[in-house]
Amino acid sequence: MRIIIIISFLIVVGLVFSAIQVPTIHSKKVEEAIKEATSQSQVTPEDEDIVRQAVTLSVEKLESAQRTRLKYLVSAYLVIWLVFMLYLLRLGRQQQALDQRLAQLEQETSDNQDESMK
Amino acid sequence: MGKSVKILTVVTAILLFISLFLIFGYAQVEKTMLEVQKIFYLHVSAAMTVYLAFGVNFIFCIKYLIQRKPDDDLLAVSAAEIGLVFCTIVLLSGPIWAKYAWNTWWNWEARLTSTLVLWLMYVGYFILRSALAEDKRKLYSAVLGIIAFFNVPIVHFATKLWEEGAHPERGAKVNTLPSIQYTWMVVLVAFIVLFSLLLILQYRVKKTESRYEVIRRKHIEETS
Repeated sequence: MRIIIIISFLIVVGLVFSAIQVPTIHSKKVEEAIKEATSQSQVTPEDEDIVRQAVTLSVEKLESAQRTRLKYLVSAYLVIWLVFMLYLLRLGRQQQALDQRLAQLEQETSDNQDESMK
Repeated sequence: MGKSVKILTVVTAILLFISLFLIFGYAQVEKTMLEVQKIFYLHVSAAMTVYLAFGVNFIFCIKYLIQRKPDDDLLAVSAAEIGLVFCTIVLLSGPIWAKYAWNTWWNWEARLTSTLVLWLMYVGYFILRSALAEDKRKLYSAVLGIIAFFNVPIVHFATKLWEEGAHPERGAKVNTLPSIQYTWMVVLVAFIVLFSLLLILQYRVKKTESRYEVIRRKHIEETS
């Protein structure tokens, strides 16, 4: 049972790690894209600022949307893992308690039999 | 833990790791739901496992009614318990998907409502078992298990029977990428193997419980 719990824990850690690893839009790439766009046509520094603001804003929006999606994804997987964990823990404890009670009862029964034999 | 159970545990763990790798490393990101679509793999696979678990419960309920073997009752109740766990997963992961896709945690559409009814019926199955005396428990719960199973096809065909709601209609042509299809198949297999492992473990607990009860009764008889 412990093995299952450890394995499931590792799975969730792996999942959260994978979710964190999802690439976001790199600021360097944004900068390169702005430079490329503005270098091809004749634009004034003011126009360049407007382009920069617009691109930055849309990138921020995209990244925020991605973060929201990842929150949904991770919370769903965590909920699923939690349900499994609770079930496995309950199952393990049940088995452990039953084994103990059974051993105790078997001991008591054999003691009684010994006494009656005497 | 027996050797076969250990092997099954290792196989389950490997399959779950492969599933996770395929979900995050192989399956392409779906264009409409993007990353949130990855909930689908576990949600739908869990739903399919619910059908399987309650199907196993249904078979052993019938078998118990015919042969009256206590082991059939133990297997039936074990399958129902695991089915209930998977059904809980479906009911909890579904609203997270729904909140993103439909901007609501819950709506009373056919598939959602019938799944909730299914869950409640099997909760009722366990309430009935705990409320009845030993002699009546097995018989009555077997009858309820059979009745409750008739809700499974209703859940499955709900979108066809009531043609409104947010879930896609059964058999509707969806342009799914092959990587998504293959990944889902692997996850489904992993869940089926996981169900088999849990069924064995749960059955063992139930078996120990019934053995304990037999020895306890014998002990009381001897001491009195």
